[in-house]
Amino acid sequence: MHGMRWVFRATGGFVGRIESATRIAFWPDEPADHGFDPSLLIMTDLSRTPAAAALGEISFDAVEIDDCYCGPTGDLRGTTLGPRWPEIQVAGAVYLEQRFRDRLPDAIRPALPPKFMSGRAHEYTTVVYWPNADDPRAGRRYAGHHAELLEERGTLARVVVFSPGTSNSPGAQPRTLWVDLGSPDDTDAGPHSMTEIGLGRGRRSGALYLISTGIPATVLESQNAAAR
Amino acid sequence: MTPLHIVSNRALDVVPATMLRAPTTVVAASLHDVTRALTAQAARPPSSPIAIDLVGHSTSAHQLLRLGSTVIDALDLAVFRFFEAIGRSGILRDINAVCLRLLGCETATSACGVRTMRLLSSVLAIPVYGSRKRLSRTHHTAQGFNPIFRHVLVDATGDVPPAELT
Repeated sequence: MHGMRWVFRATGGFVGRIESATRIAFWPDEPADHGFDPSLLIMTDLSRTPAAAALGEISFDAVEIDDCYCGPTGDLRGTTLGPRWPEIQVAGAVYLEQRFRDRLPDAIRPALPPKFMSGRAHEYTTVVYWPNADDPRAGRRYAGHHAELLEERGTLARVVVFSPGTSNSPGAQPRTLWVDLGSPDDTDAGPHSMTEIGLGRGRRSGALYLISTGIPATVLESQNAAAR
Repeated sequence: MTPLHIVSNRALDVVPATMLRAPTTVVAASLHDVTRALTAQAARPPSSPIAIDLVGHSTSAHQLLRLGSTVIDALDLAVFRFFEAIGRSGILRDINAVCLRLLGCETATSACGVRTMRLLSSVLAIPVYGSRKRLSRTHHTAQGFNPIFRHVLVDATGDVPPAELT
């Protein structure tokens, strides 16, 4: 069920209007560059996230952005503009769900990679799998990286991985590591994987989606309790 | 002020045994036991103002309080909705709750911890305090958190609770 996932594309975000605790409008580009043009604002609702869908508050198709969540070092990840008032920041990152992004008028659809940012599109892409699916990736989030394949032993691969946004930067300092391209614990392995390298796909350079985080266990427990 | 102690079942070592035996102490296996504790408190005769004390260890990475199996992270939507429902229910007013205290090591020190305190305070409409320091059994007595350590507690803005809230 490759359709049961959300693909998110990152952009910068500058809050231009707050209409409610969760409904905001933002500019994807520096607003001073276009004189704070209100016609370029993108309306979204910070509560329309995968966690809200998993809790049954909204439908699968109603997801507009990725959640705002704590990263491993305590920093904000995902849509870092914030989850809701009063925790809204003026500037941050917004991860727009691909179908929502595709529906935006051409004039306001953010560039990918974001304007003035380096790297490739997949370095600004994450994917979250719908938790109700019969798929080992269910409920998990994978982050796109650019990688180069050095060696394969079965499904194990030694790869050079670039930090997101740095793959075409002159000073990039990629890391070399072994990953199991066949394991959903490491990568988005499975039907319709977005990873491009290895496993007979014929690519030695391209997208590699590495495990990141997931929908919180408390959300999944609430969902399971509701199902019972 | 009378505290209502809700102690994580994974942190029974950090409070005195006499405190654990107090009628106002509930041992919590998860966030859902908070509801049980508040409901039990509501069934008691009206009391003087109370502090709701959630007592547990904090996570090593983010210094977020862990109550049984639940990490109190307000960016976790299920956790946020839980506290939002408590705030809406009016039960805090019914039991005369005047503050929530997250009594775990350094729960007021990380960005995640402070953000959680802000968000919980916004939905509960009462002050929420965390700890600037590591906490141990010595910070508690049979009656709960020892008020002489009031200075280690702060709200999200860094203010120490007033004397009447300890």
